[in-house]
This record gives sequence, C-alpha cells and structure tokens, in this order.
Amino acid sequence: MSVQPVFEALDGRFVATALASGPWDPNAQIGGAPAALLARELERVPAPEGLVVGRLTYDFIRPAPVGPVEIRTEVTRAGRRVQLLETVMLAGGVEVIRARALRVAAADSGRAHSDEIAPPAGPQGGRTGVLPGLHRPRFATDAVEIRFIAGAFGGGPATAWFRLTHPLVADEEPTPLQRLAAISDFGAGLSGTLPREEYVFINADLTVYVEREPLGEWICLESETRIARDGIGVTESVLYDERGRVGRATQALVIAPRH
Amino acid sequence: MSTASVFERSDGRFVATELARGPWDPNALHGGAPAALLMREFERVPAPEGLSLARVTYELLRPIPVGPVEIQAEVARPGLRVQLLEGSISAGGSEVVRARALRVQAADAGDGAHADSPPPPGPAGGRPAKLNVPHRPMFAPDAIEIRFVAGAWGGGPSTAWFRLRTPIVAGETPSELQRLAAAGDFGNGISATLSWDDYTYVNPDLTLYIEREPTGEWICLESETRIARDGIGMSESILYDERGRVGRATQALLVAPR
Repeated sequence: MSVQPVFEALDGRFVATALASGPWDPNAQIGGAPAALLARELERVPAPEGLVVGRLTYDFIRPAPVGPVEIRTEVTRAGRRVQLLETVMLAGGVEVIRARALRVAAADSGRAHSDEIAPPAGPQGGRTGVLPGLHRPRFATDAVEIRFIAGAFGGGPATAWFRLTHPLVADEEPTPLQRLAAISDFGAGLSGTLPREEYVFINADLTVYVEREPLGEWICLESETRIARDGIGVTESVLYDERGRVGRATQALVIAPRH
Repeated sequence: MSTASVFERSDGRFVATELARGPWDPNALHGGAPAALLMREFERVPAPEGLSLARVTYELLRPIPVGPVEIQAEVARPGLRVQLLEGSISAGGSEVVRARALRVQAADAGDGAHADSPPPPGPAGGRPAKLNVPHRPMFAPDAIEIRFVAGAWGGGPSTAWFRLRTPIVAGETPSELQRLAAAGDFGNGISATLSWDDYTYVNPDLTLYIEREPTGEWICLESETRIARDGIGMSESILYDERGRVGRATQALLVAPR
C-alpha cells in the first residue's frame, strides 16, 4: 500500500486530501471516503462483547469539502445486545453528514444458519474500470481500483469488484467495515442510466446492512438503479466478498434535469 | 373499518390499545404499530412542494408498552430538494423508538423512468394466515388482515398481502404510507426460518425505502430471512401494492435461543 492516505489526521481533526474527491468537483468529497472515515470513528467506540455492526445509515446533508473536517460521535443507546451510535461530520462548523450505526449481538442460531450465497466471478478476470471525470487525483480510480464483471460505468445494471489501494488514514490498514463503507457508495454511479451532461444524479443517503464482516481486500457490488415514474430513484447493491454475500447497500437519489 | 383502533387519543397523547400488541410479549407493541404512528407524525411535518418520502429508518430501542406514549417529529435539516426529519416515541419518560425520515425531490427523469415491476398474484386468491397467536387481541390478525400467496407463516421465504382492518388513530382513515409502515415490519415474521418455540428473532430496526407512494389498501411483502453463520440475521422484503413494486423493507435481527 502506498503511503499517501485519503485523510490526514491532524490534532484530532482530519484533512480530506485530493484522494477523497469525487469525479466532478475537485473540492468535494465522494460519499465513500467520508463514509469509511465515519465507520472508523464508530468502530473506535467500545462495544459489549459479541456485538457486531449490523447497519450503517448515512445522510449526506451537504457536500463535504476537501480539506479539514471534524467528527463527533456518541452512544445514543447503550445495551448488552443492542447499541446505537450516532456520529456527525462537520466542515467549518457546519454539519455535512449525519450517520448512525446499529450494533447487535451476533446471531446465536446453533447450526440453523443460511447457506452462503456464492459471489459473482472474481476480480482477477474483471475488466479495469474506466470512469468519467474531470480531474485527478480522485477517490476512484486513484485510491480505489475497479474491475468490471458485468456492465459498464453508468450503463444500467452492473457488477464490479472494488479494492482500496491507499490507506484511509496514514499508517493504518483499513478494517473490513471501513473497506465495505468506502465501496458501498459506488452503486448509484455504477448502475446509473441517465447521461451526466443532462441530469443531476446524486444520492442523498446510503444504508448498508452488514450480514457478516467481509474478508479480504476486494468488495463486489451487484447494482441496479430504478427510477419510479411517479416517485424517486433508488439504487440497490448486493455486497459480496470473495467468499459470498455480505450485505446490501441502498441509496435514495435526487434526479433532475440540468436544463 | 372497525370502530376499534390501534391507538386512541387522550389529552394530546396517544394510548396504544391491545390491538397494537406483538407476539413476543402481551405487554409490548408490534413494531408495525409505532412505525405507522411515527409515519403519521412525519406526514404532518410540512414539506416543500414536490418532495416525497424516500426512506424511514426506525430504531426500535426498547419494548414499547401498551398504554400512553408521547410522540414528536421535527425537521433536522431543511432544504428544497432534500429534507431530513427526526422523530421519536417515548413511554413513561424514556425513549423507546427513534426514527429518521428522508424526503427527496421526486425524480424528474423524463423518458429515463422505469416501467412498474409487476406485483405477485393479488390478495383475492390468497390464503388467510394461520398464525401463532400467543394472546388476543393482537396487531396481527386483529388489526391487520394477512393473506399468503406463497409460503406460510414462519416457513422460510414467503409472500403475503396485508391490509389494515382498523384505523391507526381512532376516527382517521390511515394514509397509504401509514399502511405501508404497518405492514413493512412483518418480514421477519412471515419468512422466519427458526422455530418460534426455540428461538427469538426480534428486530431492533426497520428501514423502509419507498420508490413511490402505494395506492389502495393492500400491501404485499415478498420476504426472505437470512442468518449468517458468523454474522447477524436479516430479513429483506420487497414491497408492492396491487399495481407493482413500491419499495423495500429491511430488518436486522437479534437471534438467540429462548
């Protein structure tokens, strides 16, 4: 792993580097970068033994700028079997992301567990992802490597493997949950169907259900975007590691013509 | 619709009746009842024109007792295209449910919108549910009617239609979104894979994504529960009205031997 991190840590604050930026605006972070950093903060809160993160929900309140950000985290509901955590990211004193994590006791069902759902074809045979965008460096594909198995970026239902190639924070190996959070936000971009030149197409939120913690570096998204004629756009992504299914990510979309 | 209701009003508060009770404890509500009541509270918060409800996430923090509850909802982040709401229910001075709702501008995608995904076979041909009913009256089947079109209660992947028989709040016809919230919490019940006698599989949360507002009284859940060998239990339900797909409900589960 190369040395340049996605975030620099500085006196209890963080500075989002250019590696956290999205493809369209060099001054704005892409959702996956802060999602992973917030997951890291949530993981640092001690948990009763046997609890695992079952869900992460992010509300992207305002664009998160590249540059210094602060994070505040608290336990909202302490319990032995369920723990609810809340965290916010602020930039210049203004809240930009609000997130919750639900930890629950790992299932104790004896031998009555579900069969593993097999993953799509592995990353080795995938095609290198080519992403549109206006500047470099940026999160994808400079801090994240992408290999397509089915479909292509922005061409409807698509399946691709993703791998963080830079540390989130200097000198730290990202945890499985941080890797999952970093990648889960790619579904809308991956499987979008509307031309970027004509439409605003952004996700206002991200919900990640984690059935089990992923293993290894590669995370796969099998994504589909649906736009209701008299409703909203929603992207759903089944999440896999190289062993099988690990969860699901869902994003609500704001879709409007650029005019 | 019956004159009985899931919640009654008293001195500006709501009182959960026995029709709100769930299966786990005769003194605790089914998650669908408070989910519908909070939905009603969110609906009462004014929205900028053109915004529609996209997601509600419920944290079912503690068992909710039969009896009086207090409810509140407010705008946490105002905006013209996106509005974030927060709400909660308290009982006896302690918070029992916390929820966040996201409204977003309805999609304006022109020809880029998708056709409806067709629904499962309709409720008319469905089989009435054979429920495990540990006490009466109870939310299901006394306040909500269930008709199975695939699978059976607690028999793994199942598809069933749900219809509120009684008002959520006395004297009011439930809105379509309240109907959706009331039904959306049944996924872990209809698709359970573990024996009720041997295990508990309570859901401490419920996330509803709403692609479009449903129409009509009937809501269908096509549900599946998965329990990871070294992870958690989780129920996923695709939600339909009689026209087609309207969204998805997801629940994390606390799975433990009794």
